[in-house]
Amino acid sequence: MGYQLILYVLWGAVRDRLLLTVILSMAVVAGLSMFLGSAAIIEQSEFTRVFMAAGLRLVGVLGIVLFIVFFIRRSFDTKDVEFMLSRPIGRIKFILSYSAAFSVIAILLGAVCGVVVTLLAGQDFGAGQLYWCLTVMAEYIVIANVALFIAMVLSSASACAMATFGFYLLCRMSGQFLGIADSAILDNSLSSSFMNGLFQIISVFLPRLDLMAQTSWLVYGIENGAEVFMLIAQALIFSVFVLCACLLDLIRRQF
Amino acid sequence: MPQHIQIKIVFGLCLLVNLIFWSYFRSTQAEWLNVPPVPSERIAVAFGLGDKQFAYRNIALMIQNLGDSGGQVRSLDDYNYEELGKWLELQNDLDGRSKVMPYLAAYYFGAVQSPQKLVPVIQYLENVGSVGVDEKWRWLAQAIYLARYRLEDMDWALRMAAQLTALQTKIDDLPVWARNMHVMVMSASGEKEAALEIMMQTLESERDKMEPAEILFLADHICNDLLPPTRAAVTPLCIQLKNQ
Repeated sequence: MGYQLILYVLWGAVRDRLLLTVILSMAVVAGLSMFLGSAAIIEQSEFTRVFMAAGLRLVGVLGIVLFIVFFIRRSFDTKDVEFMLSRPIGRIKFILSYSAAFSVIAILLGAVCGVVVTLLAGQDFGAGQLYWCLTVMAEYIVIANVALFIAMVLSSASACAMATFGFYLLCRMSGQFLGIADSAILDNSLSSSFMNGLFQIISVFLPRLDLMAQTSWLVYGIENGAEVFMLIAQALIFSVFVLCACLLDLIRRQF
Repeated sequence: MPQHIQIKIVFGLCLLVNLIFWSYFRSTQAEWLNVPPVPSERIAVAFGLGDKQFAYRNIALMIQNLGDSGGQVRSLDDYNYEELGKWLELQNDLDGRSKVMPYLAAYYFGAVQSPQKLVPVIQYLENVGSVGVDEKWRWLAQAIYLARYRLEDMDWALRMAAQLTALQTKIDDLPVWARNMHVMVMSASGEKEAALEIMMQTLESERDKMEPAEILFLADHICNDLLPPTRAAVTPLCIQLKNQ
């Protein structure tokens, strides 16, 4: 991996004021959560904690996706990518460096989320918070790599952002979709069977983001810590899988 | 005609039409659609983007503020309690540990003007309270009170009192007053006396396990609604509340 290339991307994040923007947005979300939480009749701190955690998680994803997509597309538009690939860096090293830099940003934002929730939502730091924070980081790493892949493949920034958000929503809802597909709600018509089969296939390529960063961990703690590590492992494997797809695409591309 | 005059004419016309639309919609208010239909648990989780707890809290706030929309406040009597009962059950499936929904059911929705509407609420409190975990038996006691004194269904209240008594096998520290709830049910005391008895006893035995807001609510209800002013003035709880 190119150490300097990683620094270049990280510097790009600083230059784009990503961190500042996301932290400001997080401050707004935290304020709104406190307001909403105080509107609850009882368990106000639990409401605040849940709204804050869920809101920050979403803001972080928005920040990461928009930054990566626009950073990559701008790099293509300004011929930065072609310029860098003309240097003795290699396409594999190029992608791995970008992925590493985006993952560092993802971990950083995940840590910010964890710190804000712990400090502002009034609760001692425990296993629930730790696992929540770790899975938010894992989720951000997955989304960062997916955004990188999509931005390398599609040429329109807005289409990339839409596709990545679509993927994220699909992952967050995959548990519900699978539950509906597995239940007897669907009839036996051809179209239902087709949709059911299609979703079963699609779900193979969806990491279970719905099981990650559950806000109930922040309220009641966590019962099965081992499962969390399975989820993190799945996220990391999926990130490698997406990176491989990205590499395959870049290696075959003609500039 | 010069182009800038044409643009000014279009601008003026748009402003005029906009004023017509404004006057047409000015008195139109958001229509209150009563308690919305209940989704399945899977769909409800979608309210939290796949996060059950987030969905639970979202829905809890929605239910809490159900009748307050667009500056209008609805009477509890206008609520569709059948549908509300289904929402409460759904919430119990999403998070059976939180106290928010039983609290709302017992102290807020339980205050509906027409007692016959209380059946789904009492059923919900019975379900929650009869599980026998933590201090959830309190909701069964509330269900008994609502059934006996609001709905005036003595048989149902006695059945629930028997359930509460049976919970002593699961809950070691079940207070004596709760174990003997059937005695209170069968007594001829009035609604206010019964409510006072239950709330005072609950405060005495469960204060450590209650939310500050819940303690405050019970104290306020006891001092301002249940006790006559002369008695409230000499009751230590009410004096303490007044000095807060």
